[in-house]
Amino acid sequence: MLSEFLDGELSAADCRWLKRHLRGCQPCLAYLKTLETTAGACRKLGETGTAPPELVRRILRLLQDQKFQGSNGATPPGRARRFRRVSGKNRC
Amino acid sequence: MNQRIFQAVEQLKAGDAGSFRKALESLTGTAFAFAKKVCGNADDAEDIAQETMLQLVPSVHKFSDARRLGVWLYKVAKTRCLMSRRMGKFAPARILRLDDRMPSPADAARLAKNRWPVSPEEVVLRAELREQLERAILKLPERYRLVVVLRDIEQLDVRETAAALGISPAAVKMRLHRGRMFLRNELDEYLHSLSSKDGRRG
Ligand SMILES: [Zn+2]
Repeated sequence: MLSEFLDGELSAADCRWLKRHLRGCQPCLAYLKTLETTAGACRKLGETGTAPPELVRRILRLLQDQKFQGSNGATPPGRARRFRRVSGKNRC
Repeated sequence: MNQRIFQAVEQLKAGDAGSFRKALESLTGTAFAFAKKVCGNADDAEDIAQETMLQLVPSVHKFSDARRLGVWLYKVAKTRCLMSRRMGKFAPARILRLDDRMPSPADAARLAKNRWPVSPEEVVLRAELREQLERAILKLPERYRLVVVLRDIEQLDVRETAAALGISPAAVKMRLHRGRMFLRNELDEYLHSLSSKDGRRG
């Protein structure tokens, strides 16, 4: 319930009930705050992180190869499955 | 949905080579970051991001809608993660432990006094706290981990997460709740051990 409260997904009635409860319940309130900090830290974690430049270059090269091998750049999702594990590191 | 996906769709619409490259960087970065959090290993994450892009890019122009493109990207990346063997090894033994660690009324007294001395920003900026969080995510059994990563880290909504994982929205909410509590408890334990160390020193 606390988790859904954080996400604003409780029904109006449950939300009112929980807010009333939180006013009188220190342990729940403290727990909610730490849960909120945890979810917030996860969100911050997602804001960082870019692809290694070498990986992007390698993918661009492989996409070029794919084109030359006859794909016209419009492979339907079903057919795309034939691209099995390509071990990138061995290719460079 | 992750902002990088929206950015990428806009860049793809521009149609020139420079924009395409930028879009590819955004999408690869998204797949890489996702896979790294799920697998805990940069080498595996590179392979997974690469395979995901080779599968995604040939049809990428069909997606004008960022949400649908995102769901598809995560779905492909998730399947690749599950195929790479390293992921599964944590899973079975820890489900019980997760259940054990649901908060109980006995925790109430300790909880009442519980104030974390950190903000979300600080958790991510302080290397040891960030590591603790990343380690806790990897300790989660994979069904919880995937939900937490998609929902709380990649910022998908419940419906998008359900679609990417092929599970019901109700299952997403349940796993998210348990997963968050587990992470919260792991951080709590760590912060607690820090403050009791400080106490002894002082
Ligand atoms: Zn309470």
